[in-house]
Amino acid sequence: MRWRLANGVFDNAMLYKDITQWLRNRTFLALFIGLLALGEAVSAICMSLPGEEGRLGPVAFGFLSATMGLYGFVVIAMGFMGTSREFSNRTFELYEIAGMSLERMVLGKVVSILVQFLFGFFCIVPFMFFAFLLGGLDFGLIGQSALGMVLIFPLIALLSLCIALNVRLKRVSVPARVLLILAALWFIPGVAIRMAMGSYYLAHHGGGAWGGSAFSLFSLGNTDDLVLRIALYVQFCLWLFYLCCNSIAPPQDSREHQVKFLTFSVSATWVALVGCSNWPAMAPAAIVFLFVASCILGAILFPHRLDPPLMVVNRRKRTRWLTVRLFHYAFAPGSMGTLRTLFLFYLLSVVTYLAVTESGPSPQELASSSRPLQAPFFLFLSPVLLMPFGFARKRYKTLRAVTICYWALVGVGLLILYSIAESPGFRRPGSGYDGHVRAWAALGSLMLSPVSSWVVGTVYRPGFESSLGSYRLVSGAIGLIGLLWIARRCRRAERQG
Amino acid sequence: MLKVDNLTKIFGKTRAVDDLSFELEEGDVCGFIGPNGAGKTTTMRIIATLEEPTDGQVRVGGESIHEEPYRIRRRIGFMPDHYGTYPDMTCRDYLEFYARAYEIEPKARARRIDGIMDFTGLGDIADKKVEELSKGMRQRLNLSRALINDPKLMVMDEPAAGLDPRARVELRYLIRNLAEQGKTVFVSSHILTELSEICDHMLIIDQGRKISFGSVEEIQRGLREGFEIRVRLVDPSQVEGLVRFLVQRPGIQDVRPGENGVLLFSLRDEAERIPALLREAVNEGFSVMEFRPETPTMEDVFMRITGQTNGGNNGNGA
Repeated sequence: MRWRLANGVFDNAMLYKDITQWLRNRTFLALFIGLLALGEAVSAICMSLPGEEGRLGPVAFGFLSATMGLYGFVVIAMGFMGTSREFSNRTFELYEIAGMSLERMVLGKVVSILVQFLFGFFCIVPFMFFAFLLGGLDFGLIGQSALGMVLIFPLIALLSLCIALNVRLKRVSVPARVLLILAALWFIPGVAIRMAMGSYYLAHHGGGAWGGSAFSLFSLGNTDDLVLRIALYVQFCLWLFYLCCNSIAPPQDSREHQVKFLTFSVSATWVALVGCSNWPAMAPAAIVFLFVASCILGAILFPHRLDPPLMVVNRRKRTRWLTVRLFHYAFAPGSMGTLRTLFLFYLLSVVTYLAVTESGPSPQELASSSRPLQAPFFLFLSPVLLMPFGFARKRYKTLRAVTICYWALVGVGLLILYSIAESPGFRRPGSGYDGHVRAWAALGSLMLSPVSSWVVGTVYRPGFESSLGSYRLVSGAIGLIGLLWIARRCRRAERQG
Repeated sequence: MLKVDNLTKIFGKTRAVDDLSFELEEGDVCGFIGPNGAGKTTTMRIIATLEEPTDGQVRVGGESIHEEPYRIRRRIGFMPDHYGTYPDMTCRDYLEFYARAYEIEPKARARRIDGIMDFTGLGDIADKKVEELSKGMRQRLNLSRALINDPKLMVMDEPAAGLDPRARVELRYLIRNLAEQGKTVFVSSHILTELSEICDHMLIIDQGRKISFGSVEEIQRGLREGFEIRVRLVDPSQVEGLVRFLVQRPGIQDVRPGENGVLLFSLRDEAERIPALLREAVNEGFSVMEFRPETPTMEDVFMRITGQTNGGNNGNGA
């Protein structure tokens, strides 16, 4: 296993190709030296400004960090473009035919981006420690910033790779591509620059709005839940890694079970981490994650091919280990596998809800903690309306689109209705529309769409928070049974051709 | 070596490949012909394990693409209709990259790459950048890439497309050499005359369905009902007399006098009748300079076969 991993990294064809191309690309080296020179020049100018004499160290450190951030952005942008070129050249299928596993391809890409980043990092970090000699800086902070960069960069690299791999796919529609490109343009430079500047803010303000939350993840001061933090970080990286693999996977050889498993385990670890830190005050953060993860997972992967792809089935047959077989069963690609994963999410939601009720929550915490229980019901609600129509049973894309459109349109419609019911005109005594209109609007919003349920659940104080949990528990179970029924009907339709 | 049974691939409402079956032995060179959109590329991609069939089975060396796709990939050399090359890489780097991808042992890599470059004639330009190569050279590099794992079956999708006549001749020579090495070659092309020269077998498909499969001679023979005969007379003034002579003979149809003493007619009879007919014409006093049955070209075969299917489908009998 260790040998295979080492071989996968050091004798990786993709890594060899990308590094060979990188070393032959002189523009890149010129750009790096230019950036470094620019950073140094700006630092020197800033240091010579009146009033900055006492803060030479932090200023130099800040600008070196910014240079590093810019360099990281250039590396990521080049990785992004290189990956897009692979799609336009249609080379991924040549790697596939060469028997290269999807993991090896993505690992090669990620490691090549990291190697390029580390090249710049090791060129710049010595200057950062030189900045320490200028005074005004804490040595531990420099080390922590450097560690933060090293830890955050792989996440951003994986995220950008994931976007690049999805944007170029033919199955992503044009508006989705435009949205993803806009998100990439906004997000990646923003994060890269903030990553660099965050350390500067930390140095001056003890943690900025962005820097504080990101760097607290890697803070070595709080060691109580360090194992969970590391586990969350590793799982999140793996999740992005397998999302990348799944993006380039041919239909017969998907990596859907890894994606589902990691979505579940990241959610569970996040709940555990929140539970360890500040429960129940932080519980909504865990609950949002659970609710959103199960809704998105279900909406995208439940209306899907029913049986796992052939290569995945063969891989499962060859497995001797019971745990691996169970893993294959619980997170199998296809609708039935997604249903099992949603069931696990439901169980996790029950545990989270019970944990919240045990800790004596406020009525609002109690009401919001039961939300994830209802996710299967929302997933069931829109496809069931289409089940009488034969065409919908075989068209998974239609089911998926209808689910998402239903959530959005019905959700917005109910919110408008609820807003009207909440308006002063309606609530005026003697208007004829007293409390029960508001109650019905709230009830519809809570039951019919996750969008309206989320918003109305936050603002509405019905006074039945304790019974809301039971209602959501039951509706979630009904949703799971309903989803099983839908999957069986779709299977029957698929077999009848 | 390659066995395709009832292969079907459906994209939405389109049957790209429809119940296709054929079999190739080791060392066979099979030409794969069909009009655009006939399902050639889809069939080849399924054989190369890049697509999943809707139904049917494909076996390479006795192993199923459903059960052993990874092992089959090691036995196949696939040349798609695009190059997939990179800037900033030399020919040697490019092949080194694919040798790594195929997990060829580091010690054996250089030897294998040198051997393939010699075979494909790239040895002299090993350190030239890929972007500087001509189209013909890139196609050779593409072929080298497909050969890097020493495949038993070569699947080549339109390898001659866009090549100049010289490069096409060289490619033909390379394909014949591959067959002599015992490799099975399954090649599609639009340049039909070339295929008839290098292939042992032909598979013709249209709208995903098999129209004809067999040796080149079998397909050409199966197409014609009798023979198309071309006659050339020394004295063009005898043409009218020869027309009268021929139309009185049984089995002769469609007599068409041409210019400069040339005449064409169809003979719906056995081959033995041809020399007898020539003897009769000479005995009648016609000064015959040329008398030969015309062999239909692959273009004729292709046009007639696909024309028949289109006509049959359209119902216009075209």
